[in-house]
Amino acid sequence: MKGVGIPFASLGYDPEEIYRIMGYGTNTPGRRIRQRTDQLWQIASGRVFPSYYYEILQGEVHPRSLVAGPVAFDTGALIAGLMKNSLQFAVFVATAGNGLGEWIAESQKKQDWAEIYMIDCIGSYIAEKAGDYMESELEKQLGGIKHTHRFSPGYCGWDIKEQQKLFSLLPPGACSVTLHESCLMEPVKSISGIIGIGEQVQTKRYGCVVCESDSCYKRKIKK
Amino acid sequence: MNELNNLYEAILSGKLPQAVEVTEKAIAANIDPQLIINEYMMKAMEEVGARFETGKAFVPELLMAARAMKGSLDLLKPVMGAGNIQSTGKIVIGTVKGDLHDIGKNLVASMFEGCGFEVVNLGVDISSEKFIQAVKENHADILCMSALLTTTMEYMKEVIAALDAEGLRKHVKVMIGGAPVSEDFANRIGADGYSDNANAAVALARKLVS
Repeated sequence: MKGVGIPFASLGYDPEEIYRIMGYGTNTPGRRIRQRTDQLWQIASGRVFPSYYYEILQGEVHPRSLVAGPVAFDTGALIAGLMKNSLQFAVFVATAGNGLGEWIAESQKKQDWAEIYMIDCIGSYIAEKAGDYMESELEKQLGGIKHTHRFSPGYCGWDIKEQQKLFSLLPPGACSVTLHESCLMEPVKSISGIIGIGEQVQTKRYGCVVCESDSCYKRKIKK
Repeated sequence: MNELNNLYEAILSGKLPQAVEVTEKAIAANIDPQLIINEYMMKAMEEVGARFETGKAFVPELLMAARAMKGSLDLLKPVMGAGNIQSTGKIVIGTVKGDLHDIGKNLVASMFEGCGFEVVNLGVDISSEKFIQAVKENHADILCMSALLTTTMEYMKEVIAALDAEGLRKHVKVMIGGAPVSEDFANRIGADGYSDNANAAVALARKLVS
């Protein structure tokens, strides 16, 4: 497998963020949920093995698209604008790994849906934190060269079908993440995307503030 | 039996062992199972649903309540006998072809069960043929479809067209859900309704079968 293992402890435990993913917003859940979240995090530390992989490619940005290595991406104007002045691109995948799916499958036999839901939310948190870790490792390699936020097909107007192109730039089996024809990644708790790199790039606002999609799950969580 | 109030509290607070314990005592005391369900268990689920709608309960609390409810229902069903159980309605549910997300769909299914629906959960990656076969075999009142990808949600339209072609559309209501799905999308593909959470799905299903 091509990929770098991430020490679980380095992900950092932020229960407030996990509660937010669970739908609590700014509310604090009751003691039972808080204790269970702590317990599940402890269990996760023994059976979830996140990893990441990235590759840096030369490229260029156009008004509505970008080219990374041999592949042209139709990102749309929004992401192309946010990638402006990028001369290289880090194409990445990061995942919570297969252990999480196996854990959920075991829990499904008990039909404890509250627990399954909580594990699923912890999985979402781990996948994003694995992305953060990957980004921090990339920063170390870049040695001060600027980079953009990370962007993924399926968000901010970038067609999810471009995921197929993105995976064509990754070695087969990177982090053991596979891409289905429907653009579903497996393990499900995985993220993939691209980061622009260049001395002149600007880290502009991103996420829901620059995207108009009202059907995106990230916007729904914020509501 | 004063302890039935404890059953209400056990379900409301999502405590399965306590719910099971009180239900076993109620069965031993020959209390009418339908009364237990209607006056205590359903009332507890209605209350947790109301709390969810007003931001006083959240998804984990809903699911714990549904689990406690189902634990009690599973004890009462054999006592009542299959023919005497008042089912709220029969639901076939599945994640559409090409999509392997099952957590959200299973959570909705468990809420349906906790609220008295009979549920046939087909799983994930379900073709229109499998949906249709299940609707026919189970005489379903409602077909629920889930998708978490913009690439797979369009398949819901194919399933509705297939229901039409089989002459089943008039006999079964269609509900859809999943992160990329919306009310507008439901209208566009000819579904009967959309919900964005498990509690709203139960309320909509009740409305559709009433």
